[in-house]
Amino acid sequence: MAALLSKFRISHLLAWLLLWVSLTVEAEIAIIVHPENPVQALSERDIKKLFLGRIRMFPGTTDAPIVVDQPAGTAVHSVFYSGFINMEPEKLKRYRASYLFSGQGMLPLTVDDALQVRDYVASHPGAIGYVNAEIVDDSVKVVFKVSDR
Amino acid sequence: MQSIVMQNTAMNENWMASVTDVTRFAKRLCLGMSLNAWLLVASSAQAEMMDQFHFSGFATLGAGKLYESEAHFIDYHEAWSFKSDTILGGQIQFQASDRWAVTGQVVARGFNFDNKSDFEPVLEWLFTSYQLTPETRVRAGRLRTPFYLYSESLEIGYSYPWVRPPVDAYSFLLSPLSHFDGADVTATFDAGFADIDVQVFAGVTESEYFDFNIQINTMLGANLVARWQDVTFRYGATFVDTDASSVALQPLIDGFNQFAVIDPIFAEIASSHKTESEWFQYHGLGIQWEYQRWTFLSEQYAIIGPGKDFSNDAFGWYISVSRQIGAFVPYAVVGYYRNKFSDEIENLIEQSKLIVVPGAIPSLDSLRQVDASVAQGFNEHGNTYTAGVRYDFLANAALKLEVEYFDSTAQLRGNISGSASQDAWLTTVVIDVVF
Repeated sequence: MAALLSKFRISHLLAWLLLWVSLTVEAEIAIIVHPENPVQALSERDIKKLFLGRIRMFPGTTDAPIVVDQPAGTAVHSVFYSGFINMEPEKLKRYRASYLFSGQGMLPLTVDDALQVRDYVASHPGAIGYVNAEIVDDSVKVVFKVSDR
Repeated sequence: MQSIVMQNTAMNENWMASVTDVTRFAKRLCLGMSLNAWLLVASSAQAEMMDQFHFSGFATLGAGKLYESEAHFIDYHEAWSFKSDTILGGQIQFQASDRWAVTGQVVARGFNFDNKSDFEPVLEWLFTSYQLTPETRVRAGRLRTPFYLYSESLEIGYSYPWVRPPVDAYSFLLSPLSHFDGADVTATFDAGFADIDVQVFAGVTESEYFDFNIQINTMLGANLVARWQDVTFRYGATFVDTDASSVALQPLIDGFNQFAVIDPIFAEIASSHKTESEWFQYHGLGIQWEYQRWTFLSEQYAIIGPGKDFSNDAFGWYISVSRQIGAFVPYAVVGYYRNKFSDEIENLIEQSKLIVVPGAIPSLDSLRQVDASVAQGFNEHGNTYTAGVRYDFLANAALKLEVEYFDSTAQLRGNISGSASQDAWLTTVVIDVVF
């Protein structure tokens, strides 16, 4: 009985945790780069252009960005593109297809989740990604927080 | 596509590991340090190189049925057929460095406007690009001609709501100019209130359109795209030095040349059946407004010919309205198109009637009559009305169902007989995928 109760409590706790995480995701997204990236901060406009492939080097540098994306359909992806980039995920798919096949350039690299984004950015000097701000550590550098704007 | 890239990476790492094992084994066999080092460098360089390659593709599987036996539209007819909108494309990109990249794209179409056989692959893109600054890029090689908003992604059905971009603007007459060999420069500016992209390009091309041979001696163009918040504005102008001739017109040319001994006007009529190094202008204006989940889009264009010889002026527009409702995008399009053929041939024929009066030479009379009606046949206009729905049934695939009504005197298939008004209904179903 006690075991059942604790199981219930754990699942209850997990549900609350998930909800809290998803709310946090909506509340705070951090744009991260490699610590050695000379860029200290990026403007909202620059970030939009980088993630839409409309500029192909970090501003003020000659370094090409490796844009790292999270899978379409995840909460953080929807919030980032709908709320911040101002492009609904359905429209983003069409935009990316047009971009890829009309000689504009390459698409972002998609990894499985936020932890993989952080690890990829931490190990690739040219990488840029967006993650839930909670998971940011010293291995990466934050150049913008969506809640800052 | 990205998953393929990731898989490639994983495969390369495994492969690299096994190569490393082999080199360890080689070392044990005392093959020497230098060879070992060389092998290691070569294998990791090769693995990195594979990372720099990106393979992708797109396809459209289409089926359509036309409810009118007299009209033709890209080879659709009264029975369901599957080739006209069916397209397959493959692309390779190679990122050589932060600045350099090479892109190649091949497209195979089920229906072509020239003498190619069905699904014969056409090299539509093959260029190297060099990033000069974060905002400026140069491309050189084979590029798509950026006449209008969708010209560079004309066959990427997945990237737009419709079955195909509105035919009133994305006229098949543009198909011989769909790509060119040359270069372009693109720059993006931050103008405070708006983001502005400017593209200038120059090149040459040659191709066929049914029985016409078309040679572009010089093509020069520029376009400007301005984006502010939910509005996108585009203006493009292209200037094209054109040679065009048709074997089908040769009997008329020969016919008039026979009478050149009577008066030079007949040689003049004959030579008016060709376009030789004459400049055509293509202007396109586009505006798109996104309001909540609605998209309003309109483009208008004008093609201005030299006003003489075998040339035309054309004008057209379309208005498209669509709305995203979950995975569905219902849309409606209205379009108009008018082609005005140069009246030089007809004027010369009328003038020649003062020199050799009708009735004097019966064979000349019939020649003049046939030629005037051929010239008239190029004057055409029409409206189209389209309604359809797109349904995204997979992350990388969309199904579209569309009905289009043509009220047109246009020679939709390029035949030059008859110009009576033709009504036709076309139903099309397509599946667009990207991979």
